[in-house]
Amino acid sequence: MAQEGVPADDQEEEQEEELDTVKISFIPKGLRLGVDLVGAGKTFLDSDKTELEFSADVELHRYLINLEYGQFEIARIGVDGSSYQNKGTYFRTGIDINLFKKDTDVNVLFFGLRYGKASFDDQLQYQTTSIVFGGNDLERENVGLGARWYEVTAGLKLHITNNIWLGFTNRLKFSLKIDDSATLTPHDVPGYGLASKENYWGFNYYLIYRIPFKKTK
Amino acid sequence: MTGCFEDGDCTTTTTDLLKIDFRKYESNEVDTVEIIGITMVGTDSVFYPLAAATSITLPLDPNVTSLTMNFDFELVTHELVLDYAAVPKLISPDCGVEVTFMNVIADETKNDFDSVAVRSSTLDEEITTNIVIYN
Repeated sequence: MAQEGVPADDQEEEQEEELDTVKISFIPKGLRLGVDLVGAGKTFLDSDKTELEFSADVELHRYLINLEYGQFEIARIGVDGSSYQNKGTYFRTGIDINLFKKDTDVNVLFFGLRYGKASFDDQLQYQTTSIVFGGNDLERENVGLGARWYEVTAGLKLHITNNIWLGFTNRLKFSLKIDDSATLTPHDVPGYGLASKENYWGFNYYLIYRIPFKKTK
Repeated sequence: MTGCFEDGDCTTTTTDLLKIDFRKYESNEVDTVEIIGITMVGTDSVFYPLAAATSITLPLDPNVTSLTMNFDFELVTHELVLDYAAVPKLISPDCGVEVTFMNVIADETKNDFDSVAVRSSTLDEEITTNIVIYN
């Protein structure tokens, strides 16, 4: 619409500026639910191990709010005849930023942060070997032991077909803190890895189902 | 969760040997003592240190959490009671279990030395003194 007293070139420029205005919305666009295929495969193939992990994320503009939940169980046999069992659950929560600015398939290339927390029971059966006091078969256990850590994540989630996505997440885990125990030093921490490692690298490969809250344009 | 498992190094500095130094109560100087023998509950073994010793090393029992030691001197016998935790840890399946002795406490009510001080409550090969006995 022409405006009186305003040069035609300036009017066009103003209209272009209006058309380029971007509206940022933090209304959730969809919910993604995933299952970790690597852990599921290990659970299926190894009778001494259970690693089941599920994930959920909600998109808010270019940010994804994440929640991951897992169940972990493992049995280990030591070369000295000792036997260790660990069973517990864990969750991680955090935020990712999507580096794809505009993608009609809602693909995600992300990096982010996580806070992880685990609760677990573990037991160790072992033999003491003392030349002076003799040997004994002993058992020690922790019940409801807690641990927490932080993660830096990076990964990709790609639209395959319909509401199906496939994605992976690389994790650098650090700053592990385990509750004090004067009974048994844990070998594993569910969701983290080996308790003796200051840093731990992790990888998940997810099969994801996305529930859109509204149609993507 | 998939992590890269690295086989642990099986070397360890944990030990079951408790290191005891003797010092004079009044001056805190190193004390030379003549111990005829040391016996401990849980074993028939008798430990015979050198005729004149300023320090000794004795093993703790990994099967219990309290150990009573009897020091036989020429004219008197003194008792030392220690409470501690023997905490096991699976280093790795290829290495097996190690036991760390920690939280060593000298029960003042049960000891009849003039004074007993815990310098380091965790037993480790790299630690030179765990207990100081003042007499």
